[in-house]
Amino acid sequence: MNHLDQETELYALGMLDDCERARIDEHLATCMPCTVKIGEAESAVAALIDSSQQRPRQRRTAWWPVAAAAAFAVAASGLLGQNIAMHGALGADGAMLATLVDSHFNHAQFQTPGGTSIAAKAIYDRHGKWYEILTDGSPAWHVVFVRPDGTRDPAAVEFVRRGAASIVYLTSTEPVRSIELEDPVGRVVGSVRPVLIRE
Amino acid sequence: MNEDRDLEAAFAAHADGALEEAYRRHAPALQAAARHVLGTAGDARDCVHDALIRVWSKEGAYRPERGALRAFLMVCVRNEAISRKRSDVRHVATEERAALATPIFGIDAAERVAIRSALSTLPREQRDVIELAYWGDFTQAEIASRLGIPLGTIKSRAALGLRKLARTLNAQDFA
Repeated sequence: MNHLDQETELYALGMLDDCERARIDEHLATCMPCTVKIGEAESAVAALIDSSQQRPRQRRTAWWPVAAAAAFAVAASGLLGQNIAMHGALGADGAMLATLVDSHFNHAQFQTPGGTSIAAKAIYDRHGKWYEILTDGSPAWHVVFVRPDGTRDPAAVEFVRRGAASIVYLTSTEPVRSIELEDPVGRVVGSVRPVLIRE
Repeated sequence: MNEDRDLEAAFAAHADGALEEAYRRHAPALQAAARHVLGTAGDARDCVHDALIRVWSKEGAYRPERGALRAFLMVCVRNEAISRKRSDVRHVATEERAALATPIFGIDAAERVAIRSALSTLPREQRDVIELAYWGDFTQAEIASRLGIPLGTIKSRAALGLRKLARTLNAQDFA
């Protein structure tokens, strides 16, 4: 086997199948220059993995899953507007939950560019301060805020699994024209246009 | 003495305790790499365990000349995870895989922006290949089929793209 060229990057990126990888492992056992070369590609991929994992995560308060679940339950039950009725049932997270409920949220289903509804829903403060996106399963979607001037602002890629659903909670200090869900290669799989009240 | 260098030499020589020490030192990063592909902590733990045993049982799999042991193990674990996922989802249509089978954990908006920024320095055609490989976990043949371009072109785009990405990440002190 000749010295490795592009195969080093393909190997490190996980683009080879098991047989191709075994063939390269066999070559590396006897070839020092290629061993050094593949080590360089592995360092790059390790850096890519690290850059996905190691930076400090944004702080989130512990109450939001409870509040979001409650908010979703209210929205799904068609009780929007009857939030005052919840006050009597608030527990230890009552103040935060009351804040959320009293913020007069709204909700909307994501639709594909073709107009078909998909299993994803956005619940949001009607002033556009926070957005809760819920979906089934564990999708690899990225959430993008589209600003009024058309600027696309990557907002999040992490959905937190809660039972059968996955949730991501976002806040925004800037106006949002629409929220889009992208797949890993940047295709829009769904969008919603929140109806916001301007303060 | 450099602790990493000592461990790398010990691991390469199959010294007693080297495997356990490598696991102790690098398990969190390895499990994160596996979980990035597989999605659950349980599957990730199994994958890391099997990958380490596989590496350890193969004489000469790692030599210090290859570079950092940590990077070597991360790629081994990631490749093991990708193999597992491919065998699990082979029956799923290619078009569905990117959407359904690539959960991303441990990454927030700021991180995403940083990676996108590094990726954005790549020409579009190289970026597409790197993203499909890294986030989609597709093989070179699958990417060629998906993009409708020759396999040789996929290889060269992946190689050029990763080399450029490595330079960019190095400049940001990631590598």
